[in-house]
Amino acid sequence: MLTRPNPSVVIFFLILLAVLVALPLVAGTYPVKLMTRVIILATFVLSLDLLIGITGLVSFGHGAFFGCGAYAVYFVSPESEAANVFVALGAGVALGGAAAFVVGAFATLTRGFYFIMVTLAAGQMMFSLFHDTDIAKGSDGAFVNVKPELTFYGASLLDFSDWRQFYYVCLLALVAAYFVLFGLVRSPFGRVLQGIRANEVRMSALGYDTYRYKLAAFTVAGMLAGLAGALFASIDGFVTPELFNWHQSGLAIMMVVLGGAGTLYGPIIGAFAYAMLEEVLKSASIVGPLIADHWRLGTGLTLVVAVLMSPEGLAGFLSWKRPRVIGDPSGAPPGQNISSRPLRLAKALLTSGLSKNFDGLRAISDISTVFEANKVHAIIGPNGAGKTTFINLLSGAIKATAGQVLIDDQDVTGWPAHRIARAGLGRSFQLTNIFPRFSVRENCALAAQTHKASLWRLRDRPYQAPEARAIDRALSVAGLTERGSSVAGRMSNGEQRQLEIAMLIASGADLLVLDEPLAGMGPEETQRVVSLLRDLVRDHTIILIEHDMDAVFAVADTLTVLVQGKLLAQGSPDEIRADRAVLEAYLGRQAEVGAVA
Amino acid sequence: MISRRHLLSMGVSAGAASAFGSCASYAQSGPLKIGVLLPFSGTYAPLGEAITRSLELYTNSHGGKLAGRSVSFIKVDDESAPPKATELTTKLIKGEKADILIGTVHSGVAMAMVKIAREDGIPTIVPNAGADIITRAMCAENVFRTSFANSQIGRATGDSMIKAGLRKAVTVSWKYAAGEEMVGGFKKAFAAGQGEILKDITIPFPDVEFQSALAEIASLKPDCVYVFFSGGGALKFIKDYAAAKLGIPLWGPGFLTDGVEAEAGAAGDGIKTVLHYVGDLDNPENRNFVDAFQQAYKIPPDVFAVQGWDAAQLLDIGLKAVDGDVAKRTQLNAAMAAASFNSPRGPFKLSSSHNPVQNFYLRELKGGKNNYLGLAAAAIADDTVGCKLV
Amino acid sequence: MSLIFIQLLNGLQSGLLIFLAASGLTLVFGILGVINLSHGSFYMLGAYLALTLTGIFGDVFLALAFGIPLAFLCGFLIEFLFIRHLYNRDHLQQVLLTFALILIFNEFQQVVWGSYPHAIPAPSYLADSVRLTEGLSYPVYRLALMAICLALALAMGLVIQKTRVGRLIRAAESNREMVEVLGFDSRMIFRLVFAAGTALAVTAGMLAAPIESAYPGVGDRVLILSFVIVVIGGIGSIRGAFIGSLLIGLADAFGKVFMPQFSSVMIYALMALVLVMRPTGLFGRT
Repeated sequence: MLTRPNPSVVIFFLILLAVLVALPLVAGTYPVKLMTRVIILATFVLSLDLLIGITGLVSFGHGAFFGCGAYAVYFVSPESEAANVFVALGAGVALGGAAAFVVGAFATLTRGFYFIMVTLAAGQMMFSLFHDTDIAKGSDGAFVNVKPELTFYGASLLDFSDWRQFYYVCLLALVAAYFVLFGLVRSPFGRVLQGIRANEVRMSALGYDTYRYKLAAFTVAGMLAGLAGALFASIDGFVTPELFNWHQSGLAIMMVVLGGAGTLYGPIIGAFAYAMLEEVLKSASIVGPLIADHWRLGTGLTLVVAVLMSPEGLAGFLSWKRPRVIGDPSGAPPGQNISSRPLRLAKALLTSGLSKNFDGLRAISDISTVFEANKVHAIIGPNGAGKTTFINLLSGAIKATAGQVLIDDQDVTGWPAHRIARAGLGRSFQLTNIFPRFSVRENCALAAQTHKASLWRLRDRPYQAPEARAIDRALSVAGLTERGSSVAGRMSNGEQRQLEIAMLIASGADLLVLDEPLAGMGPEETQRVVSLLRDLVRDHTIILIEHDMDAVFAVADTLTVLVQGKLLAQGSPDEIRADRAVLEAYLGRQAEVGAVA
Repeated sequence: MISRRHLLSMGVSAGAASAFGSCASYAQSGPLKIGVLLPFSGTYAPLGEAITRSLELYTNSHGGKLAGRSVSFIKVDDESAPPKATELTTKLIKGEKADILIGTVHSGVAMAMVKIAREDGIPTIVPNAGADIITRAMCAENVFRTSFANSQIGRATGDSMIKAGLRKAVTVSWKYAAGEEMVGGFKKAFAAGQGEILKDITIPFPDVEFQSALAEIASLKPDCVYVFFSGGGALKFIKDYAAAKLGIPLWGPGFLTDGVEAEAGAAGDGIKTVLHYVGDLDNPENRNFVDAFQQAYKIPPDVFAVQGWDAAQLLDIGLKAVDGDVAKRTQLNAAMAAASFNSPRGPFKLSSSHNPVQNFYLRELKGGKNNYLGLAAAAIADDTVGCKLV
Repeated sequence: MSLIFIQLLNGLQSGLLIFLAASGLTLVFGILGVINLSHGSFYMLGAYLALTLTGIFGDVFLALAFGIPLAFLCGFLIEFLFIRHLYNRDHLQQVLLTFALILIFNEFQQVVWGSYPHAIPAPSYLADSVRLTEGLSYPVYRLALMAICLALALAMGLVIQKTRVGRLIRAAESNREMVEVLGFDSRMIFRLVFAAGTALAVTAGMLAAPIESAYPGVGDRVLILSFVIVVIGGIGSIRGAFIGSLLIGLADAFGKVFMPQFSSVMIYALMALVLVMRPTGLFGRT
């Protein structure tokens, strides 16, 4: 999770800030104008880090919102007068944000490669819009004849034509933007974004509507990019469709990674470093004519080296220590005595005629069954019987072709995964699905946050105490209290499984659907988890898929046998063990002889 | 050619000299720094090269000096990209501390360049970009043009076409300011002569896929087609047009053919153009210029080379008037504004808004060469509407 | 009416041409799982290769005969040197490294060929044009181009569907690990596929050179359009790439005539529409 920067980083930036503040007092127009450009670039790249580094959205069309911001100033500037500074910058933010909202609404429906391509195409579309049509002045670009200013009853407070004043405005904007984003990312909203980057599927399964969060992040980033663009328009008073070009977006991504994605301050360093590098490589007076003529080659090679060598970018070089993952600063007191947990009626799950076809293959055929509350139900069957498909149907990961799923009396058929999660169903996956880079507490914190999950939730304080209690309780029940600050990815497989269960408890789900929770565990760990499950049943309903027959018979209250997508039998372990059809289809004759420990 | 390393050493010594506060003497001694902002890449690269060659030819034939001062050209490639223009111009003026600015080809780039030049006051000569506005609303004491204004040529061509009896036209050009003005000037003159414009086809700059446009022309059946393209795009259009065998006469401003006559070959036969220059103009200045250029570069000069040559001539006149002291900007500008001399294109003088007042000639392309058919219009000036100098 | 007919031809011609490039991209991404932004650079290099080789051999088809094996070889080499390091990296790093490749290739092109645009002549026996409608003659080379692209498309389809190599490619596309477990050297398969993708892009660039000329930015448009087509058609689907290419080609051709200002915008709108209806493309895997 995003933490406060190391002292070495803070010192570095204080020095940089001092230098930047002093610059106009000692240098002439050219260096100051150059720095103004770099500062605006840094603001733009900062906004991209919110997407790439924090939320994990690799957007290849971010330059389009920068361009929108720039053109917004052109649109609101009268022919031969100055626009008001607030109007101009406000227009930039508004147009950038609006465009980002529209593009984001489509783009965040997709993932991975498709997302990259859609954002790339969206950027190009805006380019075509401004280059080919008569919206503005087309391929030649347009002039902002008089730069924005701020007057108060005739007295000029701010005039963007004054390059010194303008420089300080841009610097102020960058610093303010950093602090705003920093606060945003550390807020509950921001933590969800980081969770989405770490493991979107898990976030969805925990109950977050990831689409909304991604769209919100996309829009905020677009607004900030629009602001940067609006400032850009005032540097020379000239805007062109080339601002929308995907090459600009590509360069921006480069700077984010060069500086260190996800740190917020890293990309700022990246922008400065890249701009300086380009300026140096282009100056024949420094590097000689040969290199200056082919500066692009130098940039390309530098990039390759930078990406291959340090995954954390320049920010990684800057921090003396490896950034440690610090736990949730809640400092809540240890939880209550858990062994006296009250019995509580959990939820029951019912399916009726549930079926799923995949392009003609009947994966699940007409399954009608009841999973009663406060019991452990094991689903067994040969490989390929459709067990995982079945629980995917239950948790909403896939949609049924026919039939119904009900949780208590609520019909949840067709609901998306996050909605079913909110209805009280928590699931685990065949491959452990946690947030490996976060600490155990942080994992649970994300789960606990779903109680009051809201897009607008920016403040921690009101919910800290109850959530801390939920986390402590979950850790205690799962037996992980000692491991609160351990990095999840470094624990053993068994402990990670326990963490998954802890997260489900912390999220408040009381209908747990577990896909092979004992997979890959040794006998001792298996025993621990089996005890945990038997303990959980006091206030949870548990449905699990397992292959370890000994464990199944030890832990389950009912067995449900699936063969080739059909329900073959359902009943108590003894009933199933004696069932002829099941024996033939699955257990084989040996089971008659083998006894359960 | 002055190398950048040479430039660096000269620049360093000049800088060291001026660092001791001898501003006046610096402005008069040391090399004269001429910032040259032209396209050296992209579709307009041949034009940039032609202009540069003329500039160098002129200075070399004067012993590498103008008004007694040695000259160094600081060349910057503007890539015909308007977005970089402001940055590059600022770099030349403030970074490299150029004394004079010469540029550019693409109108969008020129407009951005002139905007900064006007604020700075640096004497600026535009050797090609024909954007009307440069010698209209954007005119300034220190901004001069030795080429033409888009509407000026468009009008001259339109007049010629009316005289030739054509009455129904379709226009084709790239969608950018220069295209719009070339077509605009033409349409005004054509309409004034009772001509009818059937359609204006525009193509995004700098696309060169013309098949759709050709299909449209075929279906519209005009008696002539007025076209403005330049450089590589012009060559492609000529070839594609010939392959389509439409049988409709092709007209345009001279830029359609200049620089690409030889490569066009048989495909270009019959194309009629109007321009302020033809290679076989019979006057002594032109004969000398053509010989010198042919000898130095092995190919005949084109209109762009002439514009570059005249830029050098104009600058020379101005510099001589102030004895090489570029700090005396007001006098320098006044001398250039009042200049009148013989150009390879004929008599050359500037209008009050600093645009050339010149003759236009009708030519026909045949066998890879533009043949002079006659005078299309004499001493045409462009509108000066919006210029504050007038 | 004749305008519509000619535009139909134009649309088919540009669609078939870009199909070559797009099919290479969809193969590379579908099987190798790598986003290769430098795909457009291969197209550009093809155009310049045509320039040089046609200068030597005088005929663009002879140039092809040399150019294609050369492209194959280069593709092999590039896969070996760069691309194979990308297989296990995330999308962001792939995007960045292949973007860096673009910068390097662009610079390479500048150094070797310079920045002037160059025209490449069509072969003399195809240089003429045929009268297709009352007022317009259509260049024969373009018709020949359509035929060649169509033939290549059919050949590709046959190879993928009916040969052993094709079966292997289809298998690798749906389950890479399985193919390895079965004993096939997936590294060679990947190298082959990448080389084929490169060769396709280069071929497209070479074939298009006589009608497009060679200039530094010629690959950009092809790259974006190829990606749009892959998104519309579905990753890994050659059939999808074919349909997508034709759709885009026709939309572009008719857009230019009836909505000239918005023809480019329309293409992206088309992509958005397809995504809304089928988020993984027309023929993509769900």
